[in-house]
Amino acid sequence: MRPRLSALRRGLAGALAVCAVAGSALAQAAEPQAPAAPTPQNAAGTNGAHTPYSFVPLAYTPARGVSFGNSGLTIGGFSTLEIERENDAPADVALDSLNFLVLYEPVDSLRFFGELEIGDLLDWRSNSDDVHSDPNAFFERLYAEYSASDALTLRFGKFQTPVGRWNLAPAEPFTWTATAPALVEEGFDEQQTGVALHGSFYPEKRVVSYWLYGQVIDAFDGESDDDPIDRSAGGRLEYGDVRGTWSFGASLLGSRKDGGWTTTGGLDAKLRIGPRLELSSEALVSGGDIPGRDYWGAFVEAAYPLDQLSPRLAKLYAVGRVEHFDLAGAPAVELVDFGLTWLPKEWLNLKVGYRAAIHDRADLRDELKLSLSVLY
Amino acid sequence: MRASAMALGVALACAPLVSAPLAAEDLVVIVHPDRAHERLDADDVAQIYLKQRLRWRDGKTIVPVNREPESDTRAAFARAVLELSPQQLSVHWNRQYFLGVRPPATLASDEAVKRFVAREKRAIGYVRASAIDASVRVALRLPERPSRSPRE
Repeated sequence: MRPRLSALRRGLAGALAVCAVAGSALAQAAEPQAPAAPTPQNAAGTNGAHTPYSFVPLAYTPARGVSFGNSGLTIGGFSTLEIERENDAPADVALDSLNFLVLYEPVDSLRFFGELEIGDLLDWRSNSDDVHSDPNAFFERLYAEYSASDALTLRFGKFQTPVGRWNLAPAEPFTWTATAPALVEEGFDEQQTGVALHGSFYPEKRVVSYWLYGQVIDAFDGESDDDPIDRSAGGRLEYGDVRGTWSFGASLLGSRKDGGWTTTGGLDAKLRIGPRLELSSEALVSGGDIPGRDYWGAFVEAAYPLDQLSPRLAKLYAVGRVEHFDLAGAPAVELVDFGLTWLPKEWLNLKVGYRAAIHDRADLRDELKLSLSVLY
Repeated sequence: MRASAMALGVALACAPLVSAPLAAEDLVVIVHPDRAHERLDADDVAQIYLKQRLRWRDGKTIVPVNREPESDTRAAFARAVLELSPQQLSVHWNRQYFLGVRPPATLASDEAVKRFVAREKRAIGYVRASAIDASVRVALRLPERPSRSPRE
């Protein structure tokens, strides 16, 4: 592990820590303190009686983490083992990262959330005798959030860029396919560091959600190979039904880097047909002055549970995605991904997928990938 | 005498929202008696239990409580209100886990749910109609739907 903390990082982390301590003090000041949310232990053990604010007992639920009494603190995480082989290249086996999710909700309106990734743990190529390991630690996400109401929440810190719907939860255990769409991986910065206003309204049994955000400070704690933008401003609007059966979204992001601006816009949709088929789609177009950011692309993805064919195939899904990605200065590429995803337990996720790249580029090629993810 | 008074209390608590008599096995969504002004339908309850709607009208955080995963009551509630299969719910909560949203906490019996809701003004729960008394208010009655195939 090799933590890399600059003065800016320390400053942001310190500010969040001070807020966390202040929130904790607030929580302990109120008597009697109801739990921020009842944990199975404190609620069941007392048949619902209020208990003093406490970090004990610890309760572990697979795939939901460890909760510390009724303090509002929960620590969990996930990890993924990947085996992938691009055509003609040696196979690569990697325990890519350990990700820790830390959630602290000391009082009703205040929450702190962080995702600490310890990356590059183990990597072995089939044409090599050596196992490469260069562990490093960085925050994928780290933010504080104050919620005045369902319609108004203010966030400060580093968070996933709310462009489209894939990028909101792009990590391996939370996606249907083993590979990510190229337009999400290459199209825009995965995270923003700054402020965001977001919330939801509920007109006529529908949900309208919005995001307004901007990268107003320098990118915080990025991976060493990142080349983040300087500043940004963006927004997202989503409209759907209350149970997530369908929804439509529109996103707009303006990014500035080295004095140049690029504008990215997109539309996305999700549709669940009956209790079975799930479809999602995103389309993005981007253009402006920042080199390497002129592109357009779109994909449609489907997940279909195979227990429809036989009960023996319970919790097994056929998944597929068709994508077109056209980056200026590079050949346009069509990517066809298909595979199987098995979710035998909430905490276990196995995928096997094949990506066929039509008119492939050097960095987007045919690929076979297996992954095993564990949520803890 | 005491039983009659309790029955009367239950009837009064339920009267504003429940016109037809409750069958013992009906599911009811319950809230604290102080939440007499809250009007909920199945869509509202679904939003609350999927953690999309997080606050009561007075701005307080909603604290939903579930029954344990193996509970028949929970399965009936999910069918009637959430309209999602257990697998779809699992996918939903895994995604929420990544986003830092915890699922509702669980309690192991109707009695525990009722007692928790009776004491916690922010809480909402669901129990069989046979479990309720005047300590909680029925916010919604959910006649149980016929079980669907496990493959759904």
